[in-house]
Amino acid sequence: MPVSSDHKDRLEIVSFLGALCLFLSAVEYLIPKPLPFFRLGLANLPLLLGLRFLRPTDLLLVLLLKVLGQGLVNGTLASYVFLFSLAGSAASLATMSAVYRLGKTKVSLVGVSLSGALASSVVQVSLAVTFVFGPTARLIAPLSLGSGLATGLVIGLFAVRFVKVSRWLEALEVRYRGL
Amino acid sequence: MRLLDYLIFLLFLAFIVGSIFWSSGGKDGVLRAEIEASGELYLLPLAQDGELALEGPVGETHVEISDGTARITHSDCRDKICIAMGSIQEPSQWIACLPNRVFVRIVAESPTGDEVDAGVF
Repeated sequence: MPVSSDHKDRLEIVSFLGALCLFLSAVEYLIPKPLPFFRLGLANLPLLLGLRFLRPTDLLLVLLLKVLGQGLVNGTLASYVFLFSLAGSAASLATMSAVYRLGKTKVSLVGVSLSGALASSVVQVSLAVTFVFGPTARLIAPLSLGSGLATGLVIGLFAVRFVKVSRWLEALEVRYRGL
Repeated sequence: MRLLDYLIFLLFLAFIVGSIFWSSGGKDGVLRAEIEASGELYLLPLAQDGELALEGPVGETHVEISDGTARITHSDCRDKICIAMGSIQEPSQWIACLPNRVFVRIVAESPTGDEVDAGVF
């Protein structure tokens, strides 16, 4: 089947962002965690940036690549942790898209990132309480939400700054929009 | 930072505060004294006062529950260490009378009835 060069370019950009997620997951894996569920969420960065210009289907592809990459790096691909990760990431992306599109000029990537972290935390704690660990798991709720607030804020602030200064991202956006 | 950023930040804080209440509320559930004697297991709610006389190898041991605490009031054993251990009321506290093979400990039952057990992990 012939593939148009536009399609190829799109695929290339999507797979590049997916690879970036994989790379950032690996970087994050190097950073020691004070608590097992404390995650920086570095791998959310490509999604947060992609939100600005990617089409929904391509965004979804990056999400799948991100979850797969994280599963591979953390060795959780074949465990229930992978489902947690998938559910949390999906909820996060859905919320971020909604906030980004509805908020328009009233919201920056900081708010978008925070809303994503909140959604991911809420969904994961709910899953833990209802399906896996029972009512005892709600003890982790304040910790999960608290660390989510901190990391969501850091990633959001970084994204805002990155969008402002990165020529590379600007060029990527222009190239993608021209397809 | 824009208007909605602050609102989302505040919403996040509200969730955190809410989760603190949610996670601490009703954590203990119903407390019970779990009493083991001569192979029998008795479960007595701490909220209900009462006394239980147990037969063991060296005689009788009396466990009393009053004001939400459990203690051994009488025992036919030699050293009376079990009586000296006093009252217990917190989960995982225990009293034992080794000569008479009586073991009392406090267990917390979650209100919904399902607890984390070895099978979950």
